[in-house]
Amino acid sequence: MNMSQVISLLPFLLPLAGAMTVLVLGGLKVKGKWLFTTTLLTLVAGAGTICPHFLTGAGGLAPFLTIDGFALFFIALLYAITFIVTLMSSERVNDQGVEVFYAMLLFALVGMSVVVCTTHLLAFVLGLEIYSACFYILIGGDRSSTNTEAAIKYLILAAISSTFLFLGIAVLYFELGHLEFTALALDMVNPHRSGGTDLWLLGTALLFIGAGFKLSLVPFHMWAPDIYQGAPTSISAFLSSASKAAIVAILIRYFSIFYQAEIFGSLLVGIVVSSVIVGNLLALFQKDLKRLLAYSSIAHMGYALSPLCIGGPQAWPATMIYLVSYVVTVLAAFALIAASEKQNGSSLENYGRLKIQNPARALGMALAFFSLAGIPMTAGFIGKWSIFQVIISAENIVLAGAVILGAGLGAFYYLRVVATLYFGKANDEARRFERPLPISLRIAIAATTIGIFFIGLYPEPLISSVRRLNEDINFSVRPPSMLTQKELLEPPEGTH
Amino acid sequence: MILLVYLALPFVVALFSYLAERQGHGQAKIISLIGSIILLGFSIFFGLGKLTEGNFSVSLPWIPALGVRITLAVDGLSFLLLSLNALLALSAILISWNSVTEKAGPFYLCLNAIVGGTVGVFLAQDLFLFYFFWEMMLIPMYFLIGIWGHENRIYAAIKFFLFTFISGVFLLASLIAIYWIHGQQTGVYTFDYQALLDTSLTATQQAWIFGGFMIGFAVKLPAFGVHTWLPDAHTEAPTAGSILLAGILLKTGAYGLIRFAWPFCPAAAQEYGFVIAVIGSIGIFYGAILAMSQSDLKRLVAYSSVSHMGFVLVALAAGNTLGGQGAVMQMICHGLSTGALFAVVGMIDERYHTRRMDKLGGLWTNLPRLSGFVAFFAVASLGIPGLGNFIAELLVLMGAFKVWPVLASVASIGLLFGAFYSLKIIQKTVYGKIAEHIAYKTDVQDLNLREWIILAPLAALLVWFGLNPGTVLKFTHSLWEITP
Repeated sequence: MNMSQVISLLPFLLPLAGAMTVLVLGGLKVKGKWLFTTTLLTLVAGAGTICPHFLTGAGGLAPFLTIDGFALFFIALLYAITFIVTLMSSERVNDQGVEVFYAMLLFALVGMSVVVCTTHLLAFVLGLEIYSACFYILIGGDRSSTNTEAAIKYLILAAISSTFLFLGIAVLYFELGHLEFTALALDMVNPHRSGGTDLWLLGTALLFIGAGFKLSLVPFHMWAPDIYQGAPTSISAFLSSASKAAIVAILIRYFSIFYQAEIFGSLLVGIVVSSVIVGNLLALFQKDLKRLLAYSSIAHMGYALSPLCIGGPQAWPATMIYLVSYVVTVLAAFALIAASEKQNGSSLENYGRLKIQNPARALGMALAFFSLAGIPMTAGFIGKWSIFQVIISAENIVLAGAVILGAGLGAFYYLRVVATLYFGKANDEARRFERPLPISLRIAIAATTIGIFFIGLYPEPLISSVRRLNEDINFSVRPPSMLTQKELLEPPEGTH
Repeated sequence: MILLVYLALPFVVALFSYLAERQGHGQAKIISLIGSIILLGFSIFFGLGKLTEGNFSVSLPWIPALGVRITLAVDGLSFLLLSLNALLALSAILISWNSVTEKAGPFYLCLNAIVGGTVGVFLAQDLFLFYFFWEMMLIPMYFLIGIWGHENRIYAAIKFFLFTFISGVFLLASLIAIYWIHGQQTGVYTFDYQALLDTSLTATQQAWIFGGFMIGFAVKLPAFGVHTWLPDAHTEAPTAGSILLAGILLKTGAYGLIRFAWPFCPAAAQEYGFVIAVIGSIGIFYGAILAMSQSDLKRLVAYSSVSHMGFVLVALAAGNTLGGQGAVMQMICHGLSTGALFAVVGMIDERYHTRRMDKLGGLWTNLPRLSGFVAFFAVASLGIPGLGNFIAELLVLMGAFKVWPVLASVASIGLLFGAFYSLKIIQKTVYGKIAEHIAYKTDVQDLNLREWIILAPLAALLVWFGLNPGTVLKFTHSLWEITP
């Protein structure tokens, strides 16, 4: 390993070092606010090390870590999410054992960063397990009974999900003898593969089921509401944004290589359509905001993956734009819930007080839910626009119908939240419960709500940077449709 | 550049009136009033200029990656609707002058934001921008109904929002489809309206896109079948909200049909014209019959809107110059007369705290001037010769008769139904024995200066347009020669 490789790995190494530092400092009984500051500084420094990559291009330790433009985009996104989540959880600085919390945030960041930049199934599993293990502890929170229950549920879920993933990988390896994406792709479509069966289809399906659990797609969605409700709010935010972004990233990579519309198209369409409809239907009458957001996240993951059902060079930029706009919105929603949770809980009926307690926060919350509904001016609209564009251009009536139906159902319950916020019962008594917010939580709320507006009103930087990934930095692996006949017949050296 | 200022004005006024109200009481309405007067002045200024040459148009980049620009232009149709918008905004502000005292800052914020949204809709020459304002309008209207409305306001607000939002998704699909097809054909992905007009669409594509447009705009219009949000929203909204809803928001639906559905999909419009005309005719009768059986004055006027907008749909379906001109005339006159009717109902409600016709009656004795206006606007909505509505309905029926004589003849019976409910308003509220409820209240004053200023211009315009329809028609004449 030479120096330039070390430098290219800094976005991974810095959080590791930061996490270790936080743990050591915690052991030395350093005050919680210093641990908090260390975490933030680590994140800022780590984000700083991403920048040189944009100049130098792809690097890393291929095929385990392929740090190309696509990966960098997601790593930057993950850093931003972790930063916001850290800000959101500043109230825990005085808890006992808070060093573990901050260390786990950083470790999870490393795990997810590995997932977004790998093209190797082994590294994928490694990254996935790293961050899943961190989530067991993070969801466990302050070891209250609700937190613990959620953590155990997540543990069981993750075990099931991993089982499917491992089985899928085993089947793929058994059938094809590779773990690297390009090599797998080449063998799958190679008509001259000796003794070939279609077992690899099973392997891919199992992999997708594993990912489906992590994304809480229907029919693997049952876990989501309980865990979202039981986990600390900042961790629900982390779970619904970062962990989903990582899995979506690997799915994009995976499908950009493996995608064969005739085989996976209808399977994926089925899952997407049922996620959109079932997620929205279940969210309709939820009385708890965190559960409502959990169900809505099921639907939103369905929307986000809908362009991938269609495939083509338009598809994954749309998914990424959708994902970014969703992440910003859902972080804002959770940050605002975190700000009001102590006074009002997470039960929707109490949120009528918010307009009296703090009109600005009520406005922010309305904005976040309008963004989830996809109203113009907000980030959600840009996301909706981009996926809709792909669906309409493919003239896919089924998906278009599902998205329209989902938008209608979604508008109903998002609007119910806004209606409660503004038309709900409240009296001046409620003001008594108001308490000052920590400055970091205010920053988190301000950053995410401004983000909603910024993406909604000026999406140019987001759209063009995603598209530039398409033009400037090719995927390190090309889909089979782009390979020449010769390459298909003679796999290149070094991919075995 | 002047259009940018014009577009920004309501939003700036909205912001300032909100901030001012936090400083001191009663500032918001003054700022809003000044803003709407300036807006009206600007609108008239546009009318004096040469609209056909597009000398006000402006185009700025917004989202180059998607081919979205801030393109604004004003033509004859936009000018008429912008003027109506500004005039009714002025009325809406004046009518809320004394009635809205609680949360006045947010109220005027919402009111001006609605006005700004409609200005955006009428000016936008970019499909993305159009959709942006189209949806944006919903939010302030939702709050206006939901916070300042009457008893059943929350239900009405949510219903209004859901209907228009869901139909908006269909509209979005159509807009994206045109954008995509144009991009495929020319390699240029743009939302520019003028550029997209050159897109050649196959019959199937036109049918789908036209369907999306119809769903999107028919809900706002509203056409029969998707109108159920309207009676609730109009009835529960505060008076200012009802004026803006009936006067302007319904017109955005018709405007969308004229601006987008017909020019983009002329073949589909022709093919499905008869179906649309039938839906429109059903709306005429359905709205009128339901209006007849209402006892709530506001609900009656709301249903009469369904009936009147049915005429617009019939006229557009006919697709000829006569019908098109009739549709525009109907839009303007319905905006004036129905806006005014909501205003007088609001004035009655303010005085007697009821809108039920069985509790009213014999108003003329105590309030001769207000009653005079009630009678005037009621007969205007009935379509009496000499007022603008008559010209409009006549043109509509003449246009439709050229294409479907039988349908037009049947639809003209709808005018008779209109007479029933209009006369019912006069009969039940203005004439008759003084109702018990009213007799109690002896301290009620007749129209004051503010109310004169609201009602008199609307009445005068209706008379002027009735005697001089060319004032309106000359602005839109060129529009119908472009579309087949």
